[in-house]
Amino acid sequence: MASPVITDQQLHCYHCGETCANEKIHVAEKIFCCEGCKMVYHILNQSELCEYYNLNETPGINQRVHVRKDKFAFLDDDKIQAQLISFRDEKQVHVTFYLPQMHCSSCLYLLENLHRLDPGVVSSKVNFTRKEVDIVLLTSQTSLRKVAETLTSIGYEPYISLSDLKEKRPAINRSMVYQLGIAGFCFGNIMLMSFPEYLGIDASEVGLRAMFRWANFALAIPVLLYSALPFYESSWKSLKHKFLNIDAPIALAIIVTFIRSAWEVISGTGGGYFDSMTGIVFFMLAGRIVQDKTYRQLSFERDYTSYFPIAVSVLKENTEVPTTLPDLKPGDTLLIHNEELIPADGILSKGKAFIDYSFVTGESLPVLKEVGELVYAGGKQTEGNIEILVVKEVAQSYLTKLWNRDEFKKQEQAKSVSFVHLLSRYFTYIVLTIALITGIYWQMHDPSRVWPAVTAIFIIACPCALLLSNTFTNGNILRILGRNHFYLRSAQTIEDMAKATHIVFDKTGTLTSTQQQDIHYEGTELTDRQLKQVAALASCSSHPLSKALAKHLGIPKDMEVSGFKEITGKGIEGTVSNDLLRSGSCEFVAGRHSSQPGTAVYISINNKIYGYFLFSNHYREAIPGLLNELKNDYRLSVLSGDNEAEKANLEKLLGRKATLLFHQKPEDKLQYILQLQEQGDRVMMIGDGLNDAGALKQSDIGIAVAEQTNNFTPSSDAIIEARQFSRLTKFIRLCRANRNIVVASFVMSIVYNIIGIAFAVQGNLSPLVAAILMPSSSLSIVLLTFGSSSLLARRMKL
Amino acid sequence: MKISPAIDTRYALTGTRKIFLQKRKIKSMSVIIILLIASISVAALFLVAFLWGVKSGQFEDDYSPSSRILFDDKPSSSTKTV
Repeated sequence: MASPVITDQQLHCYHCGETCANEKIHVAEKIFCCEGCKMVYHILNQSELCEYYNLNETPGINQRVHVRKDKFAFLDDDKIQAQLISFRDEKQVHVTFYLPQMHCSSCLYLLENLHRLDPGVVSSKVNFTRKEVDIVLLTSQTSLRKVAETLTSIGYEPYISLSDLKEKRPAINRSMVYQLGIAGFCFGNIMLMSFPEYLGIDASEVGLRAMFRWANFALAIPVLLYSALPFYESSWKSLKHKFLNIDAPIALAIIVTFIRSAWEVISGTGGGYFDSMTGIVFFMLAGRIVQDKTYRQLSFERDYTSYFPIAVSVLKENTEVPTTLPDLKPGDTLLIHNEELIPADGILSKGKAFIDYSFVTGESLPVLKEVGELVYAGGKQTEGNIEILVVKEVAQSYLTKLWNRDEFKKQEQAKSVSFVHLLSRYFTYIVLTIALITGIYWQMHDPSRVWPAVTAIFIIACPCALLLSNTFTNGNILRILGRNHFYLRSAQTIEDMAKATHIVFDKTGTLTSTQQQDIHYEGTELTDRQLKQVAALASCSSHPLSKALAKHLGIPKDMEVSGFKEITGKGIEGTVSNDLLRSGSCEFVAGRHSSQPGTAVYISINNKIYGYFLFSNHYREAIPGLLNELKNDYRLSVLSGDNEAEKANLEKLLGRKATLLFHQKPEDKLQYILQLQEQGDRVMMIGDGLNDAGALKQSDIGIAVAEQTNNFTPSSDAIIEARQFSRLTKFIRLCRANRNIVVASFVMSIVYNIIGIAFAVQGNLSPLVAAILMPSSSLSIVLLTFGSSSLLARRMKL
Repeated sequence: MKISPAIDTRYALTGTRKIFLQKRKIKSMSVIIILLIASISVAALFLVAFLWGVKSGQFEDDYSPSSRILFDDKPSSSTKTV
């Protein structure tokens, strides 16, 4: 492990594993890509924490982007502290930090050994799935800010956002797991104690039999009163809305079964159906838990507050005062440091802004703003510090205003009713009719059999099989999709996916990649040597355009750059193997304004202008194929915030019928979705930036595209990893199959029900028949749904 | 415990044999009660253990504990290379 990590003849950083241009930065035999990585190694080495590197190869996080020294100054503020810490007394403070960089066991090791780096830390415990670390620290020896800075220095910068200022997130609801545990316990024991009942006990042992019955009775009570609570709650809610959902007949069946069984036990006429009742509750709760398995590491509820920092520096009489965002007032002057987000609309008052709006629009190339220009909130400054005069409060800014619209304040009402509930409604009516007819029949022929026959119908005909097939199929499909990096918010989303008729795409960042640009050169032909020179010059700069250019041309190793100068917002110059190169804006290189509408980097060598590199959006590889597949089955639209430069290209991809709209503001996108919905379309919106957030929320199903799931995505119903985008049609097909599987297993459960009802209407449903029919129908349905959805997924190669 | 008259009518046996059988029934019944109590209390023990485990969050993070166990408390000095 002491030798540098060398693969493919390339040098990789010992800390983060990125390729290193040369061997300049090293400690002993270990090579680092930048001073930041070397620094982290130093810190760890001093504290004897190098085990970090033994657990995983190159576990570190790249440190090229430096974090500002005073970034966490706001943590000294008492008011902010109070919002973040979970517990405090005179001696110690408990705090939980979210560390999105956490990714392997090395991280775990390092973070749990935090006390060795900062003696003031009493303990640190990692929750890996949530990427959180709970830290207990001594206020006498360290502070919140110091701990945050220590974490930052080793590459785990705590992510503290404006949403932390709001109320604490609710604790995870575990009650359903408890309910399942209790139901399982009671079900198992009741089954065991029902055996004498099934097998027929010797008439001589009535005492024993009565004891078993009473024990079953006692064990069924917790199931009735505690485990079945979710069904009562949900059916009560639906009845209040004058709607019969699937839980209503189930709650009815549970209660009827219990009453009848209790009456049988008390009167000594029979053993009751406690085993079936607890069994149903157990299986249905299990199904719910399978279905509700959520991706806790992902958040589907992000609004702008999760992107925005908790505090910014406000300049007051030339000193920086950390101020929380809600306290910002128009007229304040903000100091926005390099790599910081602009939290409010304002006028640029000092410096040159190079703003990366990729959070907002998905556009990866930064926009240049000059002093006096209006800058909108949500952008990230990428070069140097700027000062901004706030003109609007945070909540009133162009971007954030969207969230204050009434549509977003309303509690999200049930967007659509699942077909399962509609099915169950018919089902309930049919069952009620059968029960009524049976009741009347027996009333006329043999009144003593009315009660047993009618209750038996309710017991046997409860739509639990339907509910089971639904929850288990949904759960399995969510799991299959999750395995393919397509994460749905809830089971209802599956149905919404299947029902969509109109797909709306955002262009920038969704159809095109934010990671890559198409670059092509126009002008006088450059020789290989000249190209290498340009690449060498570009590789010295941290500007996104230069970086992209260097990546495009390939970084040469044998070129020395001297006299490198970077003029912020203009360009770079330097001498590369005795030639003076300049690269940058037209103004900087050629001294005139550019006539080129797109983003271009001009090149001059020894003061002779050669030409320019034109940057354009790069469509994701899979897009043409995907659009081709979707074109026939769906109406398609593309909404773009950009100009119409790409119109011809898009028309070729989407076909004639598609709607293409340009210059769309966030509000326009939302309006367009509304308009489609009024026409009766079910809209699937696919977007990535904050500017799509309104449309994503309004649409029937909003899918956010993320380059990495750790990255931040606007609130949506589903998150898809960009690499999986090409498989969208497969995912949709799987969601559509979901319905068929549920219906198929429903038919099967009806067959079971008919057999059961045939016994029940005659008034002689023996506990043994019920005990065999109930679990075996439930189990076979679970197997059928799981099996068929898994088989389908395998056939689709998902 | 009271013995039902059914037993007497069922078996046409001699007096001593009858008494012996009745005693065995009583015995088998109390054994079943003991078994029942034992089995339910063992099951209840597992239920409590399960609920306890859920409550303490054991099912929430299934990655850290499995890796944590592999860490040595003190890395040996040999890892300090510089």
